[in-house]
Amino acid sequence: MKINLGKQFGRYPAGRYLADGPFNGQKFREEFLIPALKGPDDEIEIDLSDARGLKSSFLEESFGGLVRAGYEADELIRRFKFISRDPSLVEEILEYIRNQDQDF
Amino acid sequence: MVNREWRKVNRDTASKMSRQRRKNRKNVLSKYIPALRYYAPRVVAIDHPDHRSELLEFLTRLRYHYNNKQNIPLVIDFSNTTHFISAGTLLLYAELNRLIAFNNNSVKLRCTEPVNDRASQVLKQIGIYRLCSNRSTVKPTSDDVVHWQVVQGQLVDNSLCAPTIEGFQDRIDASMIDELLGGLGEAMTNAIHHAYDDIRQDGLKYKGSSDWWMFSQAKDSHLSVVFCDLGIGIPTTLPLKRPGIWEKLILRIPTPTDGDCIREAIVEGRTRTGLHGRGYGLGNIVDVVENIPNGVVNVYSNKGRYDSRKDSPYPIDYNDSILGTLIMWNVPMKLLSNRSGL
Repeated sequence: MKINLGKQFGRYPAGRYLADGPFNGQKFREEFLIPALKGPDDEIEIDLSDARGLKSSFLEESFGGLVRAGYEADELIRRFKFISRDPSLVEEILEYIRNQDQDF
Repeated sequence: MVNREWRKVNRDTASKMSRQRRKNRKNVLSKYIPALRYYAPRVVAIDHPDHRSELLEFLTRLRYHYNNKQNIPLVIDFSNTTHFISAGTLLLYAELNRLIAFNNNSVKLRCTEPVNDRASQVLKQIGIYRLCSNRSTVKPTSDDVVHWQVVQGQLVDNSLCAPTIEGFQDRIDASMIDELLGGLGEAMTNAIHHAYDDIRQDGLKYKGSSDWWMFSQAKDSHLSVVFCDLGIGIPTTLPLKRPGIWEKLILRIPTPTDGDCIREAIVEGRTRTGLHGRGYGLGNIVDVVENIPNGVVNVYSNKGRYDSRKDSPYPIDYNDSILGTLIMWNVPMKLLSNRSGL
């Protein structure tokens, strides 16, 4: 399973909740990540390289929000494979999955 | 005989029409209300304390007019204005938009043009003449004016800002564009989640919508990107939205200034993820310039200010509040080879 964030979802993802704007984290989680996780138990490749301006609100809501929705952090880390020009971006996402925090 | 009567009818009609014209003119004159004139400051800026006070007093007078003298036309007199500095100019533009929305454009707003030609070009370029229904024929031609752009929105939507920021892709690196767009997205998210939670203390008792404004200016070898919201400000939201940070702060500083509050929110946000250059919230916004040599970020909120430079020439606390939050990134640009002769 492959998801190209910039091409399939939006080139400028930002914001957290549905009411925030058109390309928010909740929408990405609900329309792309959760359906992919419900599919066959294999690797999900998430290509971040065509998206611009990725920052914490969108990333935390997309990926940290999966743990809040009941997914196990270990399962997410096992199944997600990220492609990005910026390794710190992948580190940040993994951090949100490992240390999901309701107080953000 | 017939002719004489015909002339009399004509005379009577002419006299009646003349009486009607006089009456109409009198009615028009009785409805005429002279406009009140407000002089804009010579320098529109918020960093230097004197310039800031002049601009904020001017904005207070405009707000008072919109709140209390709605039937009186208003003229902003820019004749003495010679300098528009980006942060102050965006604040002025945002306030005018808010005031126009406040009473649904019912105050007749006009302006007089600056004597200074470049200043006049700026007003044309960013749309203040349009807000004031001024049909100035001035054409923005100065190299440092034609690159001023304003964007306004009410949602977290970077596709609005992207064409402006990506327009500089031949002069700044792709990673810098990424960082600026990321900073803008976080600033929009903060504005929409926190800034408009309560009534702004500007006397209008008007909440308005969650508006934000973005402004970019390419000047010399630097790109300035300024973002502004007219909400309640970081020092007001900190105790309400981040009680943990607030409690830590007041343990160290029992009566923190607005500058202390901004710095605390930034420092906490920068360390929250534990990753270098990848902060959270306000930390993210400041991290935009983390890896950019000579990149500078300023955060103004209410009376406070944060400056990423260690040798900042301006204070971190002022006497007067901008009644909102304004973030300004300043990054160096590459010189274009075909511009070397300019």
